[in-house]
Amino acid sequence: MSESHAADHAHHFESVEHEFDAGKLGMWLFLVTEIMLFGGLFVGYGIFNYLYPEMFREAHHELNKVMGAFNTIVLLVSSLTMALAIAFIQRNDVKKSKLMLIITFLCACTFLVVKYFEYSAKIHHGLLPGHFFTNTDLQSANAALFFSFYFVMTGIHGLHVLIGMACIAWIYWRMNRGDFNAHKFGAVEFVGLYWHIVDLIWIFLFPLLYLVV
Amino acid sequence: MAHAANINFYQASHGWKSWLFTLDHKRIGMMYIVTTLLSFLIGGIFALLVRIELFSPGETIMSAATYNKLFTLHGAVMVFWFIIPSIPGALGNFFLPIMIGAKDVAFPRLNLFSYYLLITGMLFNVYSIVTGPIPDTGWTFYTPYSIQNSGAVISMVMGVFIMGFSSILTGLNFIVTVHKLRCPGMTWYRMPLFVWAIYGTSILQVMATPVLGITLLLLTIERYAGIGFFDPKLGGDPVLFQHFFWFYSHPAVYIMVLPAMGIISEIIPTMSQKTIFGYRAIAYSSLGLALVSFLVWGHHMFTSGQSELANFIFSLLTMATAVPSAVKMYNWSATIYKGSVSLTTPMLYALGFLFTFGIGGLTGITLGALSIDMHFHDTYFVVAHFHYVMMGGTAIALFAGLFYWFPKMTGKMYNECIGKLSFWIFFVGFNTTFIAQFVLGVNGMPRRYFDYLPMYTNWNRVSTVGSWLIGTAALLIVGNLFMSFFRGAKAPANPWNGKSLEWQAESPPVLENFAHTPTVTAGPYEYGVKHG
Amino acid sequence: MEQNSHNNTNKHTHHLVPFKVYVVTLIALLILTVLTVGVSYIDFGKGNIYVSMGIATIKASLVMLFFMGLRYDNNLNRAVILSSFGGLAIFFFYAAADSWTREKPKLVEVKAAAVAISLDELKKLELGSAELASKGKEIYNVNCASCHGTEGKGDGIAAAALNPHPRNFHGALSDWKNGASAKAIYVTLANGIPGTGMASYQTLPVADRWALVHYVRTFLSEKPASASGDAKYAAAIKADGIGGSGPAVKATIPIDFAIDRMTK
Repeated sequence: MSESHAADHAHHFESVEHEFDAGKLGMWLFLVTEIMLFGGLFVGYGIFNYLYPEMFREAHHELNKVMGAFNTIVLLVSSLTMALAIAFIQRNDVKKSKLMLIITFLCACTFLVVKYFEYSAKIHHGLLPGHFFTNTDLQSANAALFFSFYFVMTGIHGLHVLIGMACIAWIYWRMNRGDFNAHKFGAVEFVGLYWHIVDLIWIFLFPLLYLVV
Repeated sequence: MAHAANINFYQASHGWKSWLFTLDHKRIGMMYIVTTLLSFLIGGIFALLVRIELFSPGETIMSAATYNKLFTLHGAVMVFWFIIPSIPGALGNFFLPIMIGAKDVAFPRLNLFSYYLLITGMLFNVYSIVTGPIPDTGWTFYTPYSIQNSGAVISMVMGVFIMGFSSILTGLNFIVTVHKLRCPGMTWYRMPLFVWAIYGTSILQVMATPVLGITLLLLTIERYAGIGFFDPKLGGDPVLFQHFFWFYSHPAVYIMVLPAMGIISEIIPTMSQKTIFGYRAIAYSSLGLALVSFLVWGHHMFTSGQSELANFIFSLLTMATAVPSAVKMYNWSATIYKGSVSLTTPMLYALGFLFTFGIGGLTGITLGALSIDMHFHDTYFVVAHFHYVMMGGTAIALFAGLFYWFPKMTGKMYNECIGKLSFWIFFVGFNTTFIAQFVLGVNGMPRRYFDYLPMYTNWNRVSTVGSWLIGTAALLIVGNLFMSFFRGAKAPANPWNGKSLEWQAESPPVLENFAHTPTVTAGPYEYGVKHG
Repeated sequence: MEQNSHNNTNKHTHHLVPFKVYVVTLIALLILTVLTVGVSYIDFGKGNIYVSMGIATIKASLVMLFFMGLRYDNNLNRAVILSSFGGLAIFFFYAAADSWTREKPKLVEVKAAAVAISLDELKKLELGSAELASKGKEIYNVNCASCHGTEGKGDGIAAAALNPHPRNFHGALSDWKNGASAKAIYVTLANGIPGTGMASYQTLPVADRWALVHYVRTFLSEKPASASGDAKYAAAIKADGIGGSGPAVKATIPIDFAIDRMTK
């Protein structure tokens, strides 16, 4: 059996399924590192939120809840389309899978465009991190600290969105080339897992940053 | 692809490109050996210079500013270029797949990528050294000094960031390998204990290293933009940096020592020709140590201004770390008892480990006691403790492992006489250097000090002379390995009568490790047990 | 091949999840998003963070179970990702256990070090006594010996770092800035010497400073007498509130207060 699929998988695995399983475990382990990396930022945020509740409350009102909620919905939809891309290739429907990848990519673009508008508004009001903070409206001491968190957390998240987009584009290119079918689609699934983590992190970022009561 | 049954992995392909672009875990392991041993020598030179400066109080051969840079470099190079990558990258890479009967690691290209990440990170560090000013913050980069000073901190920490990813990807690779690539019959409880140790280490590498990553990233951003997380003037907390830093760096010391313990677990049964005492206890203790290591990082911060509650919790939990280590020490000793012991070079190094790691571990517990650490923190007592565990633990075990597996990796024997000589010079030199530092610490000499009171002179001199012995031993060790690689006598496939899978392979192994995938029917230490 | 059983090769590798499941999951997530926003307008007090994070956790679980396939996957992958949340929880718990339980700095009134002294008492202090000098020795060893040395030779442990060097009391008296009379030494203690490492010790009580004066004078090779109309001395005494309305307090931390705080 394995002889006919000899070209389908690396020589140290016995089968495509074996390779797929190993790759999936590898991707989950990589996602652990992403959780720990972002997690550090959440830990810092949590600690300071507790120490300076009034300042966080005042500063967060500067964030645009509507844009934040819209972006949340955009990412959730993109998670669906990503999952559908995999569902379609599992059923050997390359055409629909490619369509889903395109929609996912466009959702990601939308997300970044909205973020561009948000960041512009902040820059306009001088609500920047650290040294660059020039806003005079906020009364609380150390309000710059909130915006340091805002920019670092959404910035690194945005970077991961960009990386995700590059990965999706790569998968699309490979799918176009005919690399994937119902039997072999590991790379699509693994990029999908990465994309869902990007969505997951935003699920936590949105209420913490935008909806502090 | 031809089944290269009689061609060993060196002969399977030729030319420097076949090495630099190799996907063979054995070749990658050899490249790690060369790189990490070179790093050891470089870090060692910094240490020798530091010790020469400390030969006398006041300025001896360098200014205070230079001294601060040198001990920073010594720490950073030894930790990030040498100790963390060495055993997993070198011996782990070479032997993990062979020990479980696999053809390679799960992701060979990722493996090569890990190696090049290490090199890239090292180059970033070299850049910061060459363009300067060399940072003088100590390898721990504490804020606020690391934020304010004018050294090339960013390029140095970005180098460390990149090397961190090398470590993460290696760990990831090994975990998947152990789960997915065991040969038929290789159940979890038939794996050699070295594999269990590497597995525990890999969990730490994957879970803890990313936190170092975010820490160094935040430090970099703080230097550029003054975001204020660690700056009290902006509402931040410098102690928070220490929490972030030590959340990684404490598990990191177990990344350093767990693989070392794994090596000892291999050498002792073989050299005693007796099955290991308490296999499961040692296996579980590797995992237990990995888990507990996440709970104790605050013991590096007892005098930094942590709350009383945190100090209390961390001190209490630190006591728990003694248990898994002690289990191993007892079990190794019980293994040797009534065994048929061969005092070969690897066994000498392994026995040396029992002595030096014993001291290192016990003094760690001493420091874990809050009331004692109040006085000993930042003294030479701490310096001596961590050298006993890192050098008297990881380094001595690395040497043991390199000699033990040298015949398997190269098909040649190292020089036994020089091997034994190097052990004794190392052992005497090491203990001289660092027992002197325990004395200095108890008498109150602070660490990272360029100058010291005249009353500390004599013990400092003893320590410096000891360091010269270590340097001599290091040259003998590296020289022996290097020369024997080219001119050593031919070695048999199983010179030590070991029972684990690697001894069933050729010396050196063929490209895919085994001519036919093995089927395992017994444990790795079944000496004197008859099989059907 | 036979090794599949312990290689964890998932029998459900290509388990086909119905499209419906994905769509329903998205709808649930969108509803929960609306809920998240809605709930943010209600103040649960301390419970706010738990409510918002609770909803976020449910959303995250839906993503992991259905979009990421954990519902149909093996236990190993589940254990792997859950362990990361465990690790994060440990990090947060212990870091917070420190940051949130530190003693909040309290505003403590630093009591004026100088107690109102009458002119008569001042005269007695100026005259001095053996008792006063030996008290001065104790105060000297705590406050002064680290720079000036235990024998007053200017060779204390910290001396090497100071420029100019701390005064050697046994040496020549001609270059003393304020002079070496008793009142001159008192002035030096009160004001310090600007531009040097000699700080002002105005936070020490007047009686303590006079005790120091008498002890330091025991080191001197000769003991010049105080000038009667010493203007600087008069100013120093006035600043200490002697014979007046009360002492002036400088904004410095007294050493015993600092030691008390540090050793707590």
